[in-house]
Amino acid sequence: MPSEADYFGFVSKEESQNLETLEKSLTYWQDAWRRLKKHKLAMAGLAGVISTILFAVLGPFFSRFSYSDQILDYARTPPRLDIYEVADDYYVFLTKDYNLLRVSEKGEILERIFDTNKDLERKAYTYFDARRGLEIELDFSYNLLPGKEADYNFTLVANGGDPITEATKTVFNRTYPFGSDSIGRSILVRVMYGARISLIVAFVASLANLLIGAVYGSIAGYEGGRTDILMMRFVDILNSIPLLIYVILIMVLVGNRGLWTMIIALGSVYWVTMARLVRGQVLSLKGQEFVLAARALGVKKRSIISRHLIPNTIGPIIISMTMMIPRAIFTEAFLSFIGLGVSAPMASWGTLTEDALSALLSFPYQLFFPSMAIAITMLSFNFLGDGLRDALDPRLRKG
Amino acid sequence: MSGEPLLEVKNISTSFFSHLGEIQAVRGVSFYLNRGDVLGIVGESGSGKSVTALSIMGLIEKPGKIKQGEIIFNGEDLMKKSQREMCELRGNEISMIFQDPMTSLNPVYRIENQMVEVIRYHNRNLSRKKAVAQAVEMLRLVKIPEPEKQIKSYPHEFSGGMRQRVMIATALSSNPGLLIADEPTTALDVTIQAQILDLMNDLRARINASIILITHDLGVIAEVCSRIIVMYGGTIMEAGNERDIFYNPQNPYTVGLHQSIPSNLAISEKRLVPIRGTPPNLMYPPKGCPFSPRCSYTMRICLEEAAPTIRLSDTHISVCWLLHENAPKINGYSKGKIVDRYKTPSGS
Amino acid sequence: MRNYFFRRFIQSLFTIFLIATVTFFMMRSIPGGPFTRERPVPDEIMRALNAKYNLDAPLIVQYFDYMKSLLTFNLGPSFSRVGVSVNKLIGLGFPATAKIGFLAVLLIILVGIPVGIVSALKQNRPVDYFVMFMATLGVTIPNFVIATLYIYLFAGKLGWVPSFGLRTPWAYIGPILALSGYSLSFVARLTRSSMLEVLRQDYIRTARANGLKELSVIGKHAMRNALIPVITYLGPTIALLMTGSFVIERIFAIPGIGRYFVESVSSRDYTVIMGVTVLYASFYVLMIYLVDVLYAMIDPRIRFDKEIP
Repeated sequence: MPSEADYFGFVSKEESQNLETLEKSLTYWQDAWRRLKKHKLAMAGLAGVISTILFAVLGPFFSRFSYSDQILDYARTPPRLDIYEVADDYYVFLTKDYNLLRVSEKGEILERIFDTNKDLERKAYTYFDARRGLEIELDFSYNLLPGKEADYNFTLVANGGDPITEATKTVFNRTYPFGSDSIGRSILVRVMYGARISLIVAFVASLANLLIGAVYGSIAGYEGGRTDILMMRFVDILNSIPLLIYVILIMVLVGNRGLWTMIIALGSVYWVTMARLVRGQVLSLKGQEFVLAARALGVKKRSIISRHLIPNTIGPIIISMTMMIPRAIFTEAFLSFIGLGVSAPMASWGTLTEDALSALLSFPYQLFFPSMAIAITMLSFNFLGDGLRDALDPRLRKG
Repeated sequence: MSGEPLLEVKNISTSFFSHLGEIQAVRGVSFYLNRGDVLGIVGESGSGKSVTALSIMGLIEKPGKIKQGEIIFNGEDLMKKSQREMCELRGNEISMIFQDPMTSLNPVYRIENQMVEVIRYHNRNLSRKKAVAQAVEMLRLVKIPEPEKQIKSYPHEFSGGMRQRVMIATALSSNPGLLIADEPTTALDVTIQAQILDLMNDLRARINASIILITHDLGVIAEVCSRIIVMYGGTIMEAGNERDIFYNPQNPYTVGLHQSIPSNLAISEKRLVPIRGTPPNLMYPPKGCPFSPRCSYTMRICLEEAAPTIRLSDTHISVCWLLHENAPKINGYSKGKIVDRYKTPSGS
Repeated sequence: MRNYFFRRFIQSLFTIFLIATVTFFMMRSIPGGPFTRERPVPDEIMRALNAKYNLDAPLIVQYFDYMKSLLTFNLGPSFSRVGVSVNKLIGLGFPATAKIGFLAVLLIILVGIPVGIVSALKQNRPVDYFVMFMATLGVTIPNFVIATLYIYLFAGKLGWVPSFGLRTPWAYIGPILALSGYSLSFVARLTRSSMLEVLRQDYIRTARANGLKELSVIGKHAMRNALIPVITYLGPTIALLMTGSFVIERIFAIPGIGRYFVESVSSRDYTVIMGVTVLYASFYVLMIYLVDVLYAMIDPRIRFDKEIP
């Protein structure tokens, strides 16, 4: 315990200064990253974006099917299978088209058991597994067990034994985790390849928008005067056009439907927002001292734009990019949905959704997975974009 | 009229609760204001002066909260009043004008609309016509040329100085007993600053209002204030009248402020001496005196314990360990008696 | 001010003219004519067809003819539907499209804006979180997914509503929700963030310091400023909604313009594509013009001598 005299003794400057809680100074990016890390939704979005990309890039390597491999016998199997044990360790699954598939207990599809007789009048089908000499009779006439119509959909009778009405168990479809489509293609694999298409279109189109917009905007903003007025008048006109229609017209004009058509159509139309943004930024930066200093030192116009102006607008540009990508994904899905997307057998999320639409009520899972993929990706990008906006541009912070 | 207290602030503390923690913007501030006086509150940004003013107005919004203290205005505790009663009071008995006149008026309504709304809100029996007439009269009072015509203008058609005049006219339109001016001249040109200060001084005499003038500029304070409070780190460092603060500062922070101001002839040293370091982080305020990390005379006790309030004369108090009788004697600093820090000193 | 409105109006007309021109030449530069079919058409018939629709004239003559007929609001005959004019087709499709569009716009204004304001005033409370959660879903889930899920659930599983067409009042719910979903959510989010931004402004603090009641502070001082960006967004959105959505009309099998447009795109029915494009674009341009007019009336800071800030 120090004495009173100690208390009133002076403290050296170093000691008192050390007490000052000096915040460590961070660079712009360190600070932004720190703020982003605090933003839980943004981090969830970042995780979502990364996993979507991994899913698209690596996913197909882990699958034995390609996007175009079709096994017609295995068409329209759902992701969850109600399987029936008709004989010892002999499980079958019945599709909604009354195709009988032999499956393993774990849910792998082993083979199709073909029907030998279809009695539509009696509503009874007969299937025969020649190798095992097993005859399975399917009856969906409700005549076999009168008075219990409401309790079952059909009965299976194997080699004349007791009728089976209840599924032995429900297992995950190991062969087609997301189910298979109407011609027996794996929906999981198609969603993966769809992710590739959708992401490539979105990234490349957004990058094109970014480049065109940034160059156009920075030239307009830097030049100012008549050039600026003319260039922006053109942007105003573009801005007062319903752009989607023009995307469609360009798609029609270019003709063949493919990845590049889509990228050209999207990339050439949606740069207007970016141009406006960059121009505004450049306009306000232009008057600042460091640009004046560079000009006074005789730095060339091009390097002023590329070295001084564009790097300083990078924050808003990144934010705008993360918002543009989900929009491009959406537009691609939309165009594919109305039939202007990539052509079969290639698949994008939009075409997958479109394909599923016709059989929506019977096979909802075909719609569910591509829809979820779109929704999750859009959500992830949106969350990330929101977080980046808060992190990179604190002035724009909302709420 | 002068001499009796109009406003007494007793030991108020106001904090803002952010997701990172509690920011203690004001920590136990007490002062008083007599009728007809002009009280200056001076301090750097972040010293808690504006938050003190907003606390008096009852305008602390979430996530902020006045944690403790009393605010006695005209004998009534404002802390006990309902939101509704405070609305009646605001703009009627206590008015406030703000730092940036460029953004303090609503851009989408005409001056007339905004002034008449306030006038009629506090005097509901007034006809619209009479309210307009009163608004024009107030604009004339704040020396806006051709007020009948100018009242039809939108704020963006006015210069900064003109807008601040409109703000003052609106604030004074209901003859408030107290006008709080939060850095009213900071955003203005120097020449306009002088005009606005003159105007406020002039109006105070005419309508007998008391004024709290908040500023970071000691020069502004010197021109108009009869009493001055120096704030730092959310607390009061020194309080006194003009002579005390300018010619006999008894707190190292006040001295530092003087030395860091150019063209201040009251201090003999010619060289500018900046105060080193930065203001304290009010999320984790220092345990002892908030100024201790930056002070030239830091003693061990300054780091450990909050400084006592020391009375130097009838008008002059300082919150500093250096004035304690046990502290070493430093040239220029005198000794005084410790007083109860929450008790407001009497007389001015 | 009036001068400004007039100049903007002329500009809008010029934009429409440009759109019509560009569309015309884009359509004409597509390889293959409207009568190119899988099975080659005999030359004679082709010539006769081209003559009938004036397609054998020089391009520039065709262009002037088209422009002239546009002036009288005559969009010409449809190529793939013999004997039907484009005007007639649009007349057939427009009522259904406009009805859905109008109701969707109504929903956006009557629900989106109030919800956004409430959310801003109750910031960081459960109501706010709920609204923002829903709105985030609304802007991220594509409308065709919402529409199909809706059909699956309410038409398929529950059977409460018909899955297509507009024969009963109940049938309107799905198309309206799917059509407005994105914009409704966007407007709610925009109103909220704009309101929060405005509530932080100094003039709101001034209004409070002057003792005005919250009702006046919010309803008068904050509202008008907060709605400026919302109106900017609503203008083009109204145009887009009123002209319908190709997807929604397809999913719900609504006989609107969008459906004709999609059909005409696949059958390369030039005149229909052009007619609908010009109609859409004109509507869009006019809505933007109206927004500018409204904007100038709400915000006195708009300078009329110069539009580029």
